Amino acid sequence: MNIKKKIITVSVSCRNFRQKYFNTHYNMLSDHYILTSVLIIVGFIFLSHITPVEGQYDDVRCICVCPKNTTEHPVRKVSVLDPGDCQCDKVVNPPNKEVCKTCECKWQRRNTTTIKVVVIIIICIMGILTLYLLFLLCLDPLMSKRPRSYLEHHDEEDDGSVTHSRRDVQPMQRRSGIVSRVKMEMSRVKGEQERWKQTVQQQRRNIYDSHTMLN
Amino acid sequence: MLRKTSIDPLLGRTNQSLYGSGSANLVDTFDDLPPGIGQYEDFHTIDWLRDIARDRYRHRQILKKRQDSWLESIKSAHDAWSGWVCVLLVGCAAGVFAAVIDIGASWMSDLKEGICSEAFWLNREQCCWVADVNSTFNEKGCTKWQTWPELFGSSGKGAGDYILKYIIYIFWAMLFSTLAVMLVRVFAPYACGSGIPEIKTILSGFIIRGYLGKWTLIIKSVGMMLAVSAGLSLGKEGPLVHVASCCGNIFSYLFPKYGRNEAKKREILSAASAAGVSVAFGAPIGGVLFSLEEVSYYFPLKTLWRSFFCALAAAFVLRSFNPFGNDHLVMFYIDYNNPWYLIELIPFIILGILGGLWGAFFNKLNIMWCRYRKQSTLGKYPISEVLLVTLLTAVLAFPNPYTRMNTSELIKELVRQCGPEDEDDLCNYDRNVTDMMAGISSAPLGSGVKRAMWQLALALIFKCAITIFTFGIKVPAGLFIPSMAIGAITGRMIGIGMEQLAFNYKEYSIFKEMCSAGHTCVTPGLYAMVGAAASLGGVTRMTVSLVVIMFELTGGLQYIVPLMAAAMASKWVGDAFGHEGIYEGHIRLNGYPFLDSKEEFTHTTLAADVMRPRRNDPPLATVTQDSMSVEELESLLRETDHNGFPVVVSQESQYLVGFVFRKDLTIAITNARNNQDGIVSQSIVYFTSHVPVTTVAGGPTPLKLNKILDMAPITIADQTPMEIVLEMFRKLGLRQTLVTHNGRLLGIITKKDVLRHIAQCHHQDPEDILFN
Repeated sequence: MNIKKKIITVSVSCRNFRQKYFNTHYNMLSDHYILTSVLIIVGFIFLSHITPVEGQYDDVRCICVCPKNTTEHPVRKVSVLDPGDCQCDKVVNPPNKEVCKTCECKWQRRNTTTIKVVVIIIICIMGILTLYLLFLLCLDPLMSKRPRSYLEHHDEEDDGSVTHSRRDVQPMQRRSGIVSRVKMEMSRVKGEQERWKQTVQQQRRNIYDSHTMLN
Repeated sequence: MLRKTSIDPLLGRTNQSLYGSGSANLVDTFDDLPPGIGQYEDFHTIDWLRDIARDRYRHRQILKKRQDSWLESIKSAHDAWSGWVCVLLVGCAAGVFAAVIDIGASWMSDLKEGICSEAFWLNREQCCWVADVNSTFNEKGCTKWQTWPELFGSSGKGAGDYILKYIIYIFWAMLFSTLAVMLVRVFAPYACGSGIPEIKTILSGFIIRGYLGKWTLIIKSVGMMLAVSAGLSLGKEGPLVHVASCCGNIFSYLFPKYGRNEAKKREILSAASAAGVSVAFGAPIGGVLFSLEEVSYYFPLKTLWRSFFCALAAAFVLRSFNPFGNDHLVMFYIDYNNPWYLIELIPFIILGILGGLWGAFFNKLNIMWCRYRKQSTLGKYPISEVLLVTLLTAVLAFPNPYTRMNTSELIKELVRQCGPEDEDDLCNYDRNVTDMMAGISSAPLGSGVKRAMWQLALALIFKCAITIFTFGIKVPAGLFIPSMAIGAITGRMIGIGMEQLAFNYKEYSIFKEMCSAGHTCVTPGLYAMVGAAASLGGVTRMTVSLVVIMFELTGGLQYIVPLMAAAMASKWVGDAFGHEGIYEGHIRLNGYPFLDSKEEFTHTTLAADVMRPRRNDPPLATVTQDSMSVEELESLLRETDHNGFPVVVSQESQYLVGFVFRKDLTIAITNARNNQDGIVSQSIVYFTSHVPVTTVAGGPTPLKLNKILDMAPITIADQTPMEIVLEMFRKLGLRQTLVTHNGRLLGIITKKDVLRHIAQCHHQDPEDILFN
């Protein structure tokens, strides 16, 4: 039982701890009281070092659903408790035995950190894609239009056979090595990009122009 | 399944002769050949037999080497488990992608209406997950969730705010769909559509390069989130199959056994598509059955087990992300277990019939619309079309609460049972609760339910109409969720009607036992579930996998008989109006070379009627085994565009020796010209294992190409009925077969000839077949 408690409390946040401490365990002085609270504290310290406690966005809840005709009480009551304590009379305030007979309590958990990380990653990816999209749509046509003769020369070099590039390497080595390597790397990346663009161009032709696929 | 495993028995034979393990003077292996041999070009059909034979050969080599050293035995062990490792990776990746997409799509959908003021990354439900302790919790929102007008400082009520909300809703919808369509157009055009027809075609042995690539994966995932968030009438479930298949393709390159062998790669892709459905619906078994029933072509038992494992891994990863915060894999998990009664089978079957009718109607109209788009000027404006459809959807959807909400949420609402605490319209019965402990029972309709019925009816008409125009636009779009929503609306409405019928006439003997205490007479949510299954079945014509997906999706194991009845009824009715499901329809529309194994061929034509060359055609281009020079072969390659050439003893006798593929021949000749000494244009090319000594002495060095020769091509006699030929193409996965008469070569039948012939028999234009 102790081990179970420990595992559970790791995911319980600060306020939860306090509440648990005051509400529950104060009343029920069980045999395991001291040991359990030690474990809770350990769990809490462990948790607070890993993730910052996020105020109200707790990761566990106990949700109690009561029929609406018990007018003096709200329909739903939510509280943060650990699963063992997810009982109606600990959630509904003031405790009311009559009402609680008809309430249904469920303990649920989630992970807000995952959601946060995932959403931020999605925003980043979409931002990058949008910027690249705008670049390809607006700036790229301008840039590729200007140095036409230069670009043609470049293409030739890309298509050249193995011997061709081997001949090129020698004078390059005589000059500064790093610059030439960077240049080669850049031309390789450029070539890769060019090839990718052509593939996409071909795909676009299949779909949007000749309508042979994906219609 | 038997039909799908029947490739095996023939392999021993092909394997022996294909790579000459029988002949003594051939010690070198396939690995010595230049790279590229055995690969296929874009838009080509693969040869299953050849690829599987290659894999068997490779496998035997590994087994043979295993005794040599411990390193080799490790290699062999790695080879043995690489399939399992690969599907594990694929499953995990599919799970991660699904979780990201689920979280992102639900967040962005809610972004249309408002934002969580303190933690912008939470959607509405998550934002109000823990309302302040001891304060009222309302599912429609809480203080932390702020609608856009509220954020701009107004009260959130009144006509002006409604218009402001309306405008902001449309703005976000347009923004999302613009982004989706532009991303698809600029980065990965292959990411549009549902992807299932193409994956079916790929799995049947067709190559579409780039269709399962990295860019397609990224853009499809992002585009899917955007398209769903834009409120378009489409779902993310079908595209998830595509996403999972992309993962399968990418990971298969880590293992050369799968990456370099197209037939083997399809085993991984089958498993991946199972994982796709597994994460889309949280239905691992349903995913495996979907892969078997709907998408896969070649599905041996080994693939079944791998698919099972892959689906399991994917579901496990998704579950550990817990994207919906309810400890279930799906949004619409039902938690009631009210009984159903035999008499209710009648409305269930009626729902099935309606689903079948809707399916037939939808398939016909959607295909017609897509054909119109393909052939008219509409196809030239894909971006404007998407924007127009989005605008229309947003403008019409906003006023109705049932169309404004996310479609998955709508289904969730519809399949749910009304609890004692529910306050929304759908559960607004005139209940008179006196005894709290007695549970909820049926009651007359309240004004809320009547209003909800009107709104649902309007939502049904709207969804039916808009889905026809939405499926096929150039954004990632699936069909599962909208068709399920349509069925669920119908089902809920019939369910409520049925409930009132039973309630008002509960003294009648047929309804007597239904209205016992403790539960309502009829569970309308169950009708919604059955309706959803029926209309999805009508559109896709799935049966087994559909029922399994539905009961895994909702967790209602005891409702399997109603689901089965509805699925069967919908399939019968749908098939009566047209034999093909939506995916087959789209395959036919696009003319993909897909040999449907469900269709029957009843014509009495012979192989001689179908084979090439026809009577007036020029003779078949053949290669002789020991008399053609390199130059002659090169000119043959230049002048013809056939993908392979039969090799004969001599032009006069035309006795068949084997078959050589164009790509292999090109690579081998180029390679020999570059790397082998003494190969000139006049060199004679030998396809025999034995080269006569006399030629070596005098003239140019001969070129030996027997390694690329397939010495056991599948041949048939010219009098073979086409039914048998078709069965061979389907079951053996052939790419072509040679037609002989008394051992002499007469002609060739390729897969496309067969497809053209089938199209002709169905009185269709055979030129529709893609990539002739």
